[in-house]
Amino acid sequence: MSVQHGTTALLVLLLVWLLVDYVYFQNETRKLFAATQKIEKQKLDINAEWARLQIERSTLVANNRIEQVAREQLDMKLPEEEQIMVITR
Amino acid sequence: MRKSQHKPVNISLRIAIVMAFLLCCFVVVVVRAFSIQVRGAEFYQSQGEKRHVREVEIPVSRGSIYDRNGEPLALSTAMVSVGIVPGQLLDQFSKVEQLAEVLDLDADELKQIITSRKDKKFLYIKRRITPMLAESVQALNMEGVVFRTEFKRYYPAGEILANVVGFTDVDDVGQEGLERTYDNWLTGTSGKKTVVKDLLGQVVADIDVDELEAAKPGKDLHLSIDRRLQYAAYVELKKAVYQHQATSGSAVVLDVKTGEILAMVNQPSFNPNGNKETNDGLRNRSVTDIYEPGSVMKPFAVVAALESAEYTPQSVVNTSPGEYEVDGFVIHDFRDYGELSLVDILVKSSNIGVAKLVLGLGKEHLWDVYHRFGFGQSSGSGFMGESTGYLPHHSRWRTADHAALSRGYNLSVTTLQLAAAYGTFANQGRYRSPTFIKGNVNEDKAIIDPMIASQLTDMLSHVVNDTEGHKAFIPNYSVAGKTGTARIAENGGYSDNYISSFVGFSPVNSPRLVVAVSVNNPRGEDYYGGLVAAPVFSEIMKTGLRLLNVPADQLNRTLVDTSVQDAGVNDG
Repeated sequence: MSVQHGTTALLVLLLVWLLVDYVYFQNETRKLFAATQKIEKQKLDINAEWARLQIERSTLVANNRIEQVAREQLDMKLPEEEQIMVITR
Repeated sequence: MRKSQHKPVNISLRIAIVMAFLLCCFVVVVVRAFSIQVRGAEFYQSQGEKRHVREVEIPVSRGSIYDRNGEPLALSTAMVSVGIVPGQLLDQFSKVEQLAEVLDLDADELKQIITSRKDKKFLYIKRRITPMLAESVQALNMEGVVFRTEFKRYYPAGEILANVVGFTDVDDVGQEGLERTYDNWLTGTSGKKTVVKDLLGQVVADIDVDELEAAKPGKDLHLSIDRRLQYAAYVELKKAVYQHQATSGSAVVLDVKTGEILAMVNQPSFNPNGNKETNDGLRNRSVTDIYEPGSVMKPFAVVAALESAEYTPQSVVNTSPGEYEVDGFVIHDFRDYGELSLVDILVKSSNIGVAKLVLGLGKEHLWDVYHRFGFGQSSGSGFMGESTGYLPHHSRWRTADHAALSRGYNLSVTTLQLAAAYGTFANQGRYRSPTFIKGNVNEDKAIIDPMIASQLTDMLSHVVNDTEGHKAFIPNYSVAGKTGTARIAENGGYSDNYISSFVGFSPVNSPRLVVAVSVNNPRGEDYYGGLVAAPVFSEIMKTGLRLLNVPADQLNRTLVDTSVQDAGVNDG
C-alpha cells in the first residue's frame, strides 16, 4: 500500500466519523431543545400557579373577611376606651 | 465479418438529430431552472419557509400593582383565548357543536359565524378562559382552532380601591385611574422570535437565539396606599354616606412627612372585577371633583392676616351685630359673637371675622396665599384626569368676591388639594406635592413662615379642643382641624344642598397624618361638617394612628396605670 492509499483511507474514516458525529449532535440539540421547551412550559405553569395562589391568599386575608372572622367566629372586638390602659415608664 | 445488406446509413445525420433533440431538452431544462431559481426565487423561498420557519410572539404579562406592604392590588393571570380559522372548520360541523358546548356558546350562532365569515383568516370566539377549560378544548383536537395566551387582570382589593387603581380594557390597556396614569410603566412589550416548526406545528428549534425582539415584561408598581387603612377609611366613609343619605363622598389620608397618599376612598364605587356599567362610581372623586369648600378655607385667610403683621392670634375683631354688609351683600354669622380673637374666629368659624380680616388686606395678598397653598393648580400627584380646581385671578375680584373667597366661596378645590394644603401647616410651613408611589417623595418647599404655620397649628387645635364633644375628637391624641359646610352652587345661585367637610391632622406637636373628608349633599337631618364629616375624620385618624404605631400624646391621666410597677415594689 502506498502512502496515498493510506491517506485516502484515513480521510474517508474521518469523514464518516464527522458525519455520524453531526447526526448525533443534531439529535442531541433537538433533545435539549425539547427539554428547554418543557421547562419554559413549566415556568409558565408555575407563574400561573403563583398568580392564582396570590389571588387566593389575598382573598383569604381580605380585610372584611378578617374582620368578620375576628368578630363572629373568634368573638373579638376593639377594646372600649375605658379598657385601654397605658403603662408609663 | 458480414457486410450489411441494407442501404448505407447516414451516420452524421443521425448524430445531428439526436444532438438537436438533446439540445432542445437542455434548453427546456435551463429555461425552467431559470424561471424557478431566479424569477420565482422569492415566491418559492417564502412558500417553503412558510411551511417551516415561523415568527412567533412571546406574550408578556402586565406589571402587577402592590400596596406599600406588598399586598397585591392588581394582578395579571395567564388565560387562554380561543380563536378559529373559519375556512378550516366548514367541513367539521359535528365537532363545532362539541366546541360550542365546551365553551358554552350557541352552536347555531357559531356555525353561522363560520359560514358568513369563511374568508376571515382568524377571529376570536372566546377570550380569557381558564387554562383548565382550554385543555378540554385542546382535547377535541380540532384543526382550525387556535389558542393564544392572554392575561386577565384581577383586583383583589375590589371596590375599596376601584376608582383609584382603575382598570384595563379587553386588550390590557389602562382605561382609568392609576392603570391609565402608569400605563407605559405597567405595559410590557411582547417579543418575537423565529422558530422552526415540524409538520404537526410543534416547535422543533429556535433559529434566532437572540430573539428578533426581546420580550420585556411590564414593570411592577408599588403604591403608597396602605390597604389596611384604605379598608378602614372606605368602611367609615361608606357608612357615613349611607347614614346621611349623601350622594357621594371622598376621603384622603396623607403622610405628613413624605406626602405619600396612604388612603384615598370615594363613594360611590364599583366592582372592578365585574362589569363596569356604573359610570357614576368610576371617577376618583378625591382628585377629579371640584367644589366650593366653604369654611375649611378660613385658616388660609387667617394666614394672610398674620403675614400682614397687623394681627397676632390674640388680636380682636368685632363681629357684632352678626350681620355685615359688603358691597351690597350681607354676610351672616350663626349668631352675634361680639368681639372675637383670631383663634375664636376659627373656633366659631365666623364669616364676618374672616371677611373683616381680609378686606383690610390687598386682594392680591389673599390670592397669593391661596395660590401658594396650591389652589387652582394641579397638586402634582400626576394622577391622570386630576382637576386643578379654580381660583380666579385677583384682578377680577369685586369686593364681594374678596369677602366670599375668605370663607371659601368663589373658588373650587379638590379633596386632595385640601389635604395637601393642610399638610403644609403640619409640615412647618413647607408644601409637599402628594404622591401615589411608595418612596417617590416630592421635594417640599417653604411657602409660609414656620412661625405662622405653628401658630395656625395651635389655633386649629383649639377648634377641636375648645368645643365640648367635638366629633373630630380622638381619645389620647391631640387633633388640629377645621370643619366646613358649604352650600352647593346650582343654576347660578346657591341651593339648599351642602358639602360637609373636615380637614385636620394629628398629633398636634409632631403631626403624622393629614385626613381630609368631604361628604356631598347629605340629605338626612344633619348636614353640618362637624356632624357629618368630623366623625368620619375621627374614625379614620384613630385607625391610622393605631396602624402606624404613633405614640399617644394626650393621655387622659385617669387612664395611665402605674400600678404595674408599684405592684412589683409592694410585693417585694
